[in-house]
Amino acid sequence: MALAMQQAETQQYFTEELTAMKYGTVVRGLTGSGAPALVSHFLAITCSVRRVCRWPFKATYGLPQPTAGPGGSLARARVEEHEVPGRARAKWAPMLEQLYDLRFEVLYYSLANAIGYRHQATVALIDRMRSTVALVEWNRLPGANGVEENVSVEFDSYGDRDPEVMTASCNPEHMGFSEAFQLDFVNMEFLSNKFGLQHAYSTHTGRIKHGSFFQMTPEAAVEEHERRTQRRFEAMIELGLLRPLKIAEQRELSSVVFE
Amino acid sequence: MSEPVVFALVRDGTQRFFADRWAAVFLFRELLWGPTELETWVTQLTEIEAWDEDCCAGVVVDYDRRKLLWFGENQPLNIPRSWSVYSKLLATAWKDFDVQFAAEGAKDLAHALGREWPYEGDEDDSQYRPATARIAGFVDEDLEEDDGYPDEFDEDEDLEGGYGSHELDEDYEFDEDEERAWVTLLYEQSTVRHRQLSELSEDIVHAKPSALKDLKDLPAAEVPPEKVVTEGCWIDESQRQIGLWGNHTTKRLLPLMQASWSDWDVQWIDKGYQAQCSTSGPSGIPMSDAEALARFLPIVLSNKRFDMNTIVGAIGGNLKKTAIKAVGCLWIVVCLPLLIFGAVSGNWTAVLITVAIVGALFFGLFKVLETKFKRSFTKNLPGGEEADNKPPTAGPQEPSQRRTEVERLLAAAGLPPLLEIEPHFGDLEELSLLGG
Repeated sequence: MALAMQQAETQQYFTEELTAMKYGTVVRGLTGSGAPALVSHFLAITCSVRRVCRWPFKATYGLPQPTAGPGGSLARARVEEHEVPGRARAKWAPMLEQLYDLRFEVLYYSLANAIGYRHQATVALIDRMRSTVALVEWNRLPGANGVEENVSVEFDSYGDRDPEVMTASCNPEHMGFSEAFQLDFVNMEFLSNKFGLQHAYSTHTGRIKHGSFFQMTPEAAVEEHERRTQRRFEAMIELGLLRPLKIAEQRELSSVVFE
Repeated sequence: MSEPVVFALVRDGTQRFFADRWAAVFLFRELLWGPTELETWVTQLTEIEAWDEDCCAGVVVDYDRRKLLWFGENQPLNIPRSWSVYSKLLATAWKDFDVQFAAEGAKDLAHALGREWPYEGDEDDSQYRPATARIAGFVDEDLEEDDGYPDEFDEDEDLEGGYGSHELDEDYEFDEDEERAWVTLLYEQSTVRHRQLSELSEDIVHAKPSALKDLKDLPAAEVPPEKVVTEGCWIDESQRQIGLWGNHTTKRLLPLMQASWSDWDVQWIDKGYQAQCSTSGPSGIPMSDAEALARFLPIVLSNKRFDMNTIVGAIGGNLKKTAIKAVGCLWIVVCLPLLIFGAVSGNWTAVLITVAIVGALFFGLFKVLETKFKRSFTKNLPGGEEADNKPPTAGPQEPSQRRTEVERLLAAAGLPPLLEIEPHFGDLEELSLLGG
């Protein structure tokens, strides 16, 4: 914890900023998650008012900005498979099974250097065509009904020119918020995870069929993926969807022990 | 609907038999207080002339040879880890006794009493299990009733041949706390597949040719947390090995599986969840001793008796809350015109007095109806009167004393103290104490 606090003094952490979302996006996102329309509108109004008053929501976690480079970055620590929390491996087991059946192979495992009430683990894989990187991300954080865990999968392909192509397979309840994360240089499509990863992958390969996308060695894929992740993170900061934590917030969140 | 238990106490060579109509549900609780407390409690139950095989649970305590043999269905102990810590506690409470669970149920107890089992050779020992992995995995719906005949009212024209099962439209998702079986398939080149079933199915037990393919074709599943897994197995195709683990019901499958999978090495595994995790890779989400104990200790600490009174009381409690809300709403609706009148006329004194009188009348009527309802229900309940005369449970009746004894037992068994266990107790509403 002392190390975390020390890092908190020197490292800039970021958190999501809900007030940056448009009114319609918040309403659609919350309604899609099952909230009554009245509640969705009320919360959307709250977000809008807070945006105008420049009054962000209290941060519950912070993530450092990813930086591309060998061995990963301060944002995520590369780890061996057995070092990934048991909960993460238990939750993403069905995704990995489907990806192995689709002939993906693992590039690396990593743990996010988050502070506050969030745990995040990631496994990156590459397909045998070497043109698609799959990212399986496990998150554990407080939710409406106590602590919640979720796993999402996205397929990414990169080329010389924009846009990148991303196809995500996620919980249908979360798809309403997907429009908030649209970036100019990424062509995103969100699919319900009820259709399985085979469907998501074949949708993705269909989308990249007529474009020119890199075929990469595993090492090159890791490097390219990290560079693109950094770029997306910076774009989210520019859009206001991520904001830097204040020093006091960082200090407070660094001392949190989230089990 | 009753849950009868038969007790046999053997002392100085003499067998005495006692019965209770409802004790089967919490039998595991009564046993935890040890041989002396159990005898004190049992001897106050109804004494019967002879052993009765027609029971849901049974206990034979031989005080001469210091043996305890018992059986019963114990839902809170379905999780093997909970069963393990319970067994540790039971062994501690009966420390000079040889404690055994009767795998064959009343049959074993009859033999222990030196009696013949009247249904020898006739009885169907098989427990119901889903016929196929597809049914157990909720991919297919089992259309056959327990008697083997299809539902005559089923008019589904898509049935193949009209019997057996048919495919369900949607993928099934287990609820977070829903109990299940966990199966792991291991192949060459470290390929691992996890599956979740309601329980191990007949085709797996009897090594049917389609079993492995059906398992493989089921949807990929997460590694479930230990707190919801009642039984499990891993099937290693490359090594032709099967590791089987679970509760006492699962253990009865071992000889069947060893006979059916004759070319395979089928072993019973203690601490099965940890073993299956380390065999298949992920560390899973194991249960702590405190969590395992929390599944049944609230019932042990409770001095409530399970019988029709308790069920009705629990249901009645919820009904009463609903009735109070309904009466409250009715009172508001009735008084609203009065309040409007008060606002228009300004005569608030009269209005408020009238509202108070109406409220008192509603309250009085509610209490009268409540008392009449309770009385008529209690009178018509089977065993409603006899329950009043018996101590509801074995062990101390005073809650603080029960707590002290439980603490002592936990410490003697080397298990965590109540302070560590209580945060895991969860919902303690009355109905949840009834094993449901």
